[in-house]
Amino acid sequence: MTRQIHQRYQREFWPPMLVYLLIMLLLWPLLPQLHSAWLKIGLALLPVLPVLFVVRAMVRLVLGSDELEQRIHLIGLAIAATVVSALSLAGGFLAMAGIIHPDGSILIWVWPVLVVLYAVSRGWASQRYGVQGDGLCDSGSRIARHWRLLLAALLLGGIAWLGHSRMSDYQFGVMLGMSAGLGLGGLWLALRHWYRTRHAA
Amino acid sequence: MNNHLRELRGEQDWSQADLAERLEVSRQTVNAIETGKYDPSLPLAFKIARLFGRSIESIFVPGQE
Repeated sequence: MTRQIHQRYQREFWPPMLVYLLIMLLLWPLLPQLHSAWLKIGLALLPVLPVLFVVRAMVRLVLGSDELEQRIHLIGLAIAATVVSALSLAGGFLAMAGIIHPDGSILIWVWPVLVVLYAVSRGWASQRYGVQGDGLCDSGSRIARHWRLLLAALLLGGIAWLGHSRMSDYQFGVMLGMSAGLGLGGLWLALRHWYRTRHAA
Repeated sequence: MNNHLRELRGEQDWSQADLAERLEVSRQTVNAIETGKYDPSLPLAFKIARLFGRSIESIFVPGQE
């Protein structure tokens, strides 16, 4: 992937993700206070808008990738879609058999699980082709990825800690959860980078 | 599939990034082709051949199946 494609992806991905985060933290908790059905529907669906822009950024990223990168994206998406489909099928059978009783909110987990599995399987596919990292060009950033993730984790954790007295449990939980996820991801990448650097020397 | 891409690139004194820029692919794709982990598509193979002024058969050698 050219540096321009990568930088374009960063420009198109992070602003809507930030908007999504702000909507979930600041507007979504207002939902129980709304009485109008149309307002409830509008606010409930509001997070979908920035996600559509994220999807657009991802589509443009894949279309702008070269043939090997597109193959890696395809393998990642195929594995993720297959696993998520199998899990939902299994869950559906368990629900029909009355063994589990999921409510509709379980649907919200489809997208994040798909994205995580896509990232993991894309990383695996990248390894098969001798591509370092997850197959995405990282030449556009001056700061290593693991440091960026750890900094983001620290920032979110710091905001949560400083503002927890003004936050609801939900908001605090979301911020901490994201901070922990980013921190774990950054730690994993840092360990992998250290291991590779040590063994390359 | 084996290939002589690394040698041809070396003759031009190009880095993998230089070659990637000329072929409009990523450096990692060039590396994957050179190490035999990825076989390029026909259009890309033709592009490589045209860039080095050689035939495809002189650059890419089918491996043993």
